[in-house]
Parts: sequence; structure tokens; C-alpha cells
Amino acid sequence: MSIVVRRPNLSWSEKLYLPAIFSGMIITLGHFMKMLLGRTKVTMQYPEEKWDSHLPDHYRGAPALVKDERDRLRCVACQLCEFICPPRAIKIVPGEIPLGDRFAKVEKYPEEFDIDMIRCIYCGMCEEVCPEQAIFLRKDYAITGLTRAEMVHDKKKLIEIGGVMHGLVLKWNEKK
Amino acid sequence: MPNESQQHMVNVQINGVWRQFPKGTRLIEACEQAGSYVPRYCYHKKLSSPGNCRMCLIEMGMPKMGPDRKPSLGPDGKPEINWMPRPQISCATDVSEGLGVRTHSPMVEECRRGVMEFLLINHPLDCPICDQAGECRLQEFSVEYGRQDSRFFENKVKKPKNVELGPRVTLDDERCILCSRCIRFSKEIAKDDVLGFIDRGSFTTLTAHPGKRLENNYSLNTVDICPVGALTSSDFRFKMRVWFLKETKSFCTSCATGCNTLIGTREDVIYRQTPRENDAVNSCWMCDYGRLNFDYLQSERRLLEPLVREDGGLRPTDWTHALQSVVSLLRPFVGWQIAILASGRMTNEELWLAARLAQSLGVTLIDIVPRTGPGDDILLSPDRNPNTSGARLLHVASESGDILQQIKHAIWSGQVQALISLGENPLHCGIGPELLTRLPVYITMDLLENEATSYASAVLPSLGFAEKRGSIINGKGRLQRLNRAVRGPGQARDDWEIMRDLMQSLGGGNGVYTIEDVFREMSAAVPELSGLTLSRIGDLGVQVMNIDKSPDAPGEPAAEKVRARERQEHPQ
Repeated sequence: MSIVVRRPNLSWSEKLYLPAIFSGMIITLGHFMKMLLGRTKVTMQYPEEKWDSHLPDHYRGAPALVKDERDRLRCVACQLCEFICPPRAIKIVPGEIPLGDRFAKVEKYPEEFDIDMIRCIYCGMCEEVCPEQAIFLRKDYAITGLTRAEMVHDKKKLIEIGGVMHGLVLKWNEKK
Repeated sequence: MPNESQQHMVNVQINGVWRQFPKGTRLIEACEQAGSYVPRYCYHKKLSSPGNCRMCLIEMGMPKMGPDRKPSLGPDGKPEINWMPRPQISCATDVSEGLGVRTHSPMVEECRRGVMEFLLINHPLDCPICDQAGECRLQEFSVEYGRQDSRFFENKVKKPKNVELGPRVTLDDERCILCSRCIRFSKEIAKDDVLGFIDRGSFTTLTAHPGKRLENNYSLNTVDICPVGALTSSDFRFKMRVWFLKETKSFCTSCATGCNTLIGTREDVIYRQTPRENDAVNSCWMCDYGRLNFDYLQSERRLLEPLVREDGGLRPTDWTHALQSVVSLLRPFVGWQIAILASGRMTNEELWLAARLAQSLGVTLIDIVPRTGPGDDILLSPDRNPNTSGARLLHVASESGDILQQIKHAIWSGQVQALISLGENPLHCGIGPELLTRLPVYITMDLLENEATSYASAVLPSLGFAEKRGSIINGKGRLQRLNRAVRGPGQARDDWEIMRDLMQSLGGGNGVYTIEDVFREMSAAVPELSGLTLSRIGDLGVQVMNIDKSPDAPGEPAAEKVRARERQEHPQ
């Protein structure tokens, strides 16, 4: 079924186009004046200038693994982020913490944890699904690399971005 | 039998609807058949009912009796029901005439919420690291009957964790909800009474009896029936979360029993095998030996491409060239100079093609290699070839194995100049290196590289049981179907395709394009298989021969047991 859209019937002043042109120029002039008076700033000289300090708290940059105050990598390799990840960017190889270890009670840790940043869409579902508060979207946004392999963040890189996070729930301490 | 059970039918009202069930049916089963699943932890249909988890509480009532001791009928002409004020467990109650059940009344729901809260008091809630997560009954029922928050502020009881209960089973006592399924399984099915509870109250702990370990060949079944993550498989531990696994219906090919299984795979890697219920074969169980016997499919020794001996060494090549070389190697010989060593691990389709290949080459020396081991009277068969019955049916295997002896003698005497081994290692059946070096042509089709492959003139890599389709007849004469769970590695090809192509290069087109074609050809020629197709075999198999020698699958359904007991106690 086709819908016929009627063209508007223009009056003679509209057909001249001049009133529209002038009103447009008035707006442009207004902006020009504001700029001359320094009231608006239009261009930021990226990458010399960056907006980083103004990023809001909810900004979603690169996902990263965090450690807690006791220097424990919080991830227990439950693989829920791997499951939820819409572009399937996450790959985890779980491992077992040896019995003598300080954190042997946790039993499980990620032996390998790779996030393919070419695939990552910064949706933040991994952070949302994580039952351990181990993965967070940080404010890093300029993820670059010369090869595909470079664009895969491995566990070391993820911990480097993530750093230590304070004030999280200490779920695995001795007192349950 | 149907007539007899017809006489024993009783009327039961389940959630307001009157239904008929055979006498002796467990109430919990009756409710499930009526479409309302009653949550349970301790009850397992193949084990006895201790009634200790209290999760299957239901509201129950008996018919209201009038002064004349006759049930008083309601306006609908059905008996009125006197509801009991307190809930009853449905797993240890049998159906009886005029019984009324409510499985989802407010009282029942409240009871279940209470039971769940108690069960979760000492449960660690470490689902993120628990292998059972995703198939955990406690998780499932706490979605329905759990509380959002805990009212328990005291410290949880500490119990042993990460206990090695046996060589293949790891126990986490904090997760245990004391359902005793594993204890009953060990006692009743595995006949190896090693597990028990110690201590009392909230300190009750599951453990092995002093000086004993859970190391029988059926120990991993306790992991399957454990409703929570207390018992976990040491082999599967932390390997993969269950929600990633694709489960393919298959069966175990480690012995002639052919226990039905589910193969759990992810991205062409096999992570585990679990038993699948089939009362005609394995009930709900399988042995540890068969269950863990899949690692070889992922071994480093897998043959990945066809090899042909050129300039004194085995060189990788492509399939066209490999098959051409095999044909040109076999051409100079006539039928009596060739012997075929088939295998009892081959599927019927492969055996059929092997027989046809032998026919087209004029070979009469063809036999399978017997493979035996200790059996038990539970599931494990002493015949470790999964398809001895099929090989006999298709006349590939000699009844007494005398053709195998003839093959050995014929190689020794120099009569046989070319040996084709199909998935067997001649070194393991008395054909030593001195005989193999003497053979001008030795062609092998196999999965793994072994000592014998180095003597081969051509090596054709084939597929394992989880990588191909096909049918196999187990020791009891039941035809079962293999489904493909993973793709084969490298250039390895389906066995039947290799043999089809060999036949094609030897004798021209043969009209076989799919494995269904092979089965069709076979079923047209073999009366036992007539009328069947691969898809008609179904998931539970078809009985095609009657060679029942081994004992029945253990753990008959509770209803059957109870009915048999009834008949014994009240002969009519």
C-alpha cells in the first residue's frame, strides 16, 4: 500500500526563500557573536586536550578486572560475563587455586581472562551480571593497537587497567 | 500385564481432577504424571524413599465416610474428601482409592518456603564457584520458594570443604543438604556401602566410613544424583559451566552394555558424559570407566591427515591421493592375499561397508578383534567391544574368533600379502612387528597414532564415537544410535565415507551418498533390521535381537518394585 504525501503549497514569500535565508543568518550571527565574546567554546584540540576529567561517573569505557584491598583478584571465573556478553568478546579459562594458597577458600580463579576489544561494545552487561564485583567498566576509551592480537586484553592488561578497588563487599572473608 | 494393572487401578483426585493410577504408584510420581511436579531433593525414582528432605510436602485427604462406612458422595457424584490438617510427604506415600491431593495450595507453598529457608541456613551460597550451578535443584526451587533475604544472622556452621571422597569424587560438606541420595545409591545400586552421616543436628556431615573411600566403578553416579553441588566430579571440576554445554544424546561405546548418555560439549570440545535414562539398558546410571573414556578423542596422538609411505617415510597428503595410493597398493593382490582386521568398535554401517569392501576385493579373511575385561553384575559387560552383536549379525565376526587365528597364520605363512586394519592395532592381537615388517602392504584406518602406524604403507585418519553417526547393537541385542556431538579434528573423515570412497575407486560408483543410504542397504539385506531407518531407531533404541545374557539394569522404577512387593504380600 502506498501513502501519498502531499507537497505543501508554498506561498509566494516562501517560494522566494529569502526570509528563511535571513532568519538562518541571524542564528549564525548570534553564535558568531557569542564566540567572539567567549561565551561558547566549539572545538577541543584532541588529543592534546582531553575531556577525561569531565567524564561522568557512569561513563562506560574499557572493562577491567579489579583487585580488592587484600590484593586478591576478585574474579572467581564463574563465566557469567562470558555468558552474558552480547558480542562474545570474553573468553575465560578457569583454574583451581592450590590448597596451600592464602585464598584457597575461594577455590577458583581465572587462569586466563581475555577480552577482545575489537568485539567489545562497552554495554556494561559484564559489570551488571558479575556476582563478585570483579569486573568494572573503567574510563579508558582510547583502545588502540596495530594488530588484532594487541587488541585482545589479557588478564595482566585487565588488572593493570582495573587496579585496586576499595569498599567492595568482602564475600570470601573467614566470617560468612 | 496390562490387564493385571487394569484391575489394580485406583482413583486419585489431584488438584481437583480425578485420575486413575495403578496401585503402588508413588504419590510423587502420580502428581508428576498428572502434570504438577512436586519439588524434591531426597526422592529419586530408582532409589528407596527415606522422606528426609521434607520438600515434597503436599496436602492430602481421604474420602469422607458416612455413618454407613461408605464414602459420602458430593454433588458431582464423586467422593467428598476430608483434608488432613497437616501436610504429608508425597515421596513415601502410595496412591490409594479415593485419595485427594493438593500440590499447590497455600499451606503447601508455605511449607515449601519454610523447608527452603531451613535448607539455606547453612548453605554457603557460593554458586559462582560451584560446578552444580545451572543444574542445581536448590537454585531452581529457591527461585520458586526461596526468600529474597536471609533472616539468619548467626554464623553458618563450618564443615570440611574440598574433601577427596575418592579418586573421582570431590565433596564439599557445607553445600550438602543431607538428602542421602548418594548413601542410598552406594548401598542399593553400587552395592558398596561406603558413605554415611556422622554427628547430629546442624553438624551432621556426610563422610566415607573410616578407612574407606568412594572408589567403586559407579562413584560418579552420586555426582549426577546429588541435587546440590556437594559431590562434584574431580574430572569435570572447574572445567566448564554447565550452561555452556550442548548436550547430545548418544551412548557409551566402552563395553557391550551401551549405556545411554548425554555428551556435554562446547565448541567441539567434549567436557563430560552423563548417563541418560533408559530402563531397557542402563536405568539412570553408567560406570565411571565408560563415562571418563572420551579423553582419547582430544588426545595429542590423534591422526589429523592421511599419510602415505613415500621415499621410505610416511608423508602427509590429501584424501584423493591417499585413496588412490591405497587402491594402487591393493591392486596387485587377489582376494586370498588380503586380510581385513575389522573392529567390534565399528558401527553397523561401517561393518556393512567393510563386509562389502571385502566382498568386492574377494577377501574371506575378515574378523574382529575380541576385547575383554572384567565385568560386573551391575552394568559393565566383560565384552569391551560395543558392537560384537552387530559384527556377528553382519557376518564380519566369526563366532569363535577362529578366522582371526587364520589371519595370523596366513600372515605368518606368507599367504597374506596385504593387511587392512580398521581401527585395530595388530600389535595388540598377536601380529607382532616382525610380521608387520614382512607384510608388503599394511593399510590402517585409525583414530590415534600408535606403534603399529609406523609400519603402515598408508594411514587413513577416521572419527571417534562422539564425532560420527551410526548404529550399534549392544550385548542384549538392542539397536542404538550414535549422534554427532563434535566435529572431527583436522582432515579426519567419517569411517563409512572412507570405505565408500575406497569401494568407489576400486569398483566404480556404488550409489551410497549418505549414511542413511548405507543403513537402507543394510536393512534391506538383514532381516533383523528390516523396516528400520536411522531416524526410526530413536533416542532409546530398538530391540532387534534377543540375546539377553546380562542382568537387568539396576534400580527398577519404584512403582515396579512396589507392585512386585504387593503381589508378593497379597497374592490374588
